[in-house]
Amino acid sequence: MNRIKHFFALIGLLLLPVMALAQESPAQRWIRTFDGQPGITSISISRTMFRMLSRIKSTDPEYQKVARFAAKLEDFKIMVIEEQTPALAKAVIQFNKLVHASAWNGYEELMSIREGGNEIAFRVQEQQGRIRELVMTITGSDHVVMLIKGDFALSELTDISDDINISGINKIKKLKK
Amino acid sequence: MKKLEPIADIDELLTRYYDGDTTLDEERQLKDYLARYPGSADKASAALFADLRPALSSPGSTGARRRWAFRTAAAAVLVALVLLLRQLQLVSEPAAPRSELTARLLLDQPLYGDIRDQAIALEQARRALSFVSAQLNKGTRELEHLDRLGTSVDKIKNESL
Repeated sequence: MNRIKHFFALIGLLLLPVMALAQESPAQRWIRTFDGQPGITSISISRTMFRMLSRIKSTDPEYQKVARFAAKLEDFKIMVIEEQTPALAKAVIQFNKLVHASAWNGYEELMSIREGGNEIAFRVQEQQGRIRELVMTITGSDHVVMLIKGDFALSELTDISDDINISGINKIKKLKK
Repeated sequence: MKKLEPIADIDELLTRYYDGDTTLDEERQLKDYLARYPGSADKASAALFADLRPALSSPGSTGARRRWAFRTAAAAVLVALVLLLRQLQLVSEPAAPRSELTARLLLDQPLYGDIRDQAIALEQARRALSFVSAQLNKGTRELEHLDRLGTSVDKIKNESL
């Protein structure tokens, strides 16, 4: 009997990485496809690090806001295609395909802004009025994707910069309907 | 290499050896021959080749082999060191200049993978989250502007009726 228990425990351990991958969101999966490619900067901050950051004491109001917000985060990733070289042309094509693909099933488009030759788009996965995942993509002159995963209200994120605008957030919600 | 004849060739070969004209193979042949037939040359030559036996037993001299081995090891250590330094990001290829947007999003220092340093993680998170927050607020400001524009248009319409 013990042997059977140990066997199933071992199977479970072996399957853990597979299960972790299976729980990845589409955005996490396609950010991972760019990992390790030269000319592409790929950074992540883990949940454990965010827990540590949330305990940081600071007198700076902006850092205080970031530390408070960090307590609500589980995952943070940013991927930037930094070089515009022929070698990375394929990565850029793949990136543009993914930005416009059906990988966004399950995400709602929040807004899109044009700024200096770039289109900045925000997509979210919501649950009971709270953001579970926010993905920002930048296409055009630059190629960036940023993923913020956690459990937070959108107003908590917009509060980080000085230009708080709660009534504007309500307008976004009306547009979505 | 032709097979040595017992006497004539050995003398000719020894002469060429002392003139510095022999190849290593010929020197090895000399050694083997004198080891088998020590009486076939003068005592001095036989004794000389007896002393040179270890040096002639493998290609190249001991000294040259040692130098080669040292150089190879030094080159391997140098390559490993460069790879390690690259990995530790202490030595890197010159980076392409960043775009303005990328410079706003990322810290100046090169970063890869999971950030393990608290101070760096905090600063990177602050920079990125501030950017996202500012862009979201910018978008909502534009919506408010449109909303006010819509209100003004409605007002004009109502007044004209």
